[in-house]
Amino acid sequence: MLNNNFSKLIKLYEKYQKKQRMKMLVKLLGILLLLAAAYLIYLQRQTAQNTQAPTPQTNTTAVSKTDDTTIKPQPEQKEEQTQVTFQKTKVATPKEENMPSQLQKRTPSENKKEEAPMQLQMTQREGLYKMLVDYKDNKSYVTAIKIAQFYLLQKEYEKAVKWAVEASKKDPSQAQSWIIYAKAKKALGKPEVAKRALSIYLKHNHSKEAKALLDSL
Amino acid sequence: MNQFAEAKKLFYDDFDLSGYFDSLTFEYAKKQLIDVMKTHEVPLVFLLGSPGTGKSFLLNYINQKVSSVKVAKYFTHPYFDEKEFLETLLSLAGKNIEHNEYSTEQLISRLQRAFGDLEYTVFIDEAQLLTEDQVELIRILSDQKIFQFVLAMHKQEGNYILSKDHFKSRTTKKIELEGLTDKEIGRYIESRLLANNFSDIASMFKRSHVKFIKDYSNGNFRTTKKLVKTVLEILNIANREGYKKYSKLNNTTLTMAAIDTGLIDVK
Repeated sequence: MLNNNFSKLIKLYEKYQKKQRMKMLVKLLGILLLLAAAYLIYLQRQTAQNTQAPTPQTNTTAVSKTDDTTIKPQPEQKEEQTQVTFQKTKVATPKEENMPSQLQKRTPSENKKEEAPMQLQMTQREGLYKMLVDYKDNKSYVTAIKIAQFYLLQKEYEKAVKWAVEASKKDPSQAQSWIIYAKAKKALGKPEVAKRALSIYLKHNHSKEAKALLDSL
Repeated sequence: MNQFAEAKKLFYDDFDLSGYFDSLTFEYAKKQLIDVMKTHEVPLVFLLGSPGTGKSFLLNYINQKVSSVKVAKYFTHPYFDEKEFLETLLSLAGKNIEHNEYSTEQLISRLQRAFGDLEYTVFIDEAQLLTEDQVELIRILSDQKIFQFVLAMHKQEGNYILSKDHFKSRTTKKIELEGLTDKEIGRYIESRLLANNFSDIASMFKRSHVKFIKDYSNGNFRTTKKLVKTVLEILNIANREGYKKYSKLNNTTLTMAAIDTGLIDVK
């Protein structure tokens, strides 16, 4: 003897089946939601990566556009723009006397200058991604300058300008960021801007390399 | 009447000893119990296991089938009062005793004269129902080596009683019965059906069905029997009344059996 009437048992079974199907559906939906969330996160990361690189372009292109449209008076304005950023950083470095000693230490060991490009050659694009992530976490001058140098080597001058500015914000006393900035500007056909930037830097700091570059412009 | 109706009778939950099944846990417990009964050294034996693991069956089996040990009395339930219990035991010595003819102390001293040296064993099933006083009386009788007692009880309660101070210091033996493995369940169903000429039905039980039964019965012998009995009853009704969809042994009919036995709650 069954505890339930047979037809009632069938109904109970069907009810149970429905419940099970619902559970399965909920599980599936849960999995789909998780997958969708994971995909969205992935997309966000991708776009974040893409936007990290283009952002300097917007800054620099804004500058260059003004350069192009207004032939001579405008460069001064644009220079002022760059000056503004650099002056801001300059305020943060009142230790003008210390700077030469730091810079002198670097310049004699010219190997160091060569080391950075060597590393960049090795890292390539994959390395760039790592550096971008690293910069996001640390916001360090070293990483910013590496990225700027990478773009300079890759002849992506506008990005190089953006990252040079970024690096100089972190440590305006370092010559390297100004040099990259100047080189990139020169490559973009704006040697005046390059000269102006280097002369601003050299007013407060000493750098043989920066001086040599200024002379060569 | 189709074959299923007859086959289901093999899985009724009773103490029919023809349903003996030599599972590993059962055989091990049986051997331990027989050994301890033969040695007459341990006055108190605790036979522990979850409900439906075969404790009662084991006591019944030893009581009826094992002649090498001496079972004085098998109490299926500890319903007795103190005096009634002692009078029952004393009557085993062949003496006609009127109820309340002797005091408790007199009954104990008479039992001492009639029995001794743990020669005879008393089985008490469902011993988790014993009151503190009854347990104490059993302890006194076993301490005086009048009888050896085997107390079959649920695992939790047994462990609780064993942890009490007046048992901690005494010589006791604990024998445990565990659940069946899925292989054992498969072998049990098959052997039971084959032994009764239901080879067609036996061949219906595939490994996946046995696994289903194991998962829902959790290896419990009684639940296993209940589930098999119910599924056979479902097949019997479906075949008899023309429910084709439910006329074969499969996950559907097994699920229905689990629902009917309350192992699956549909509410």
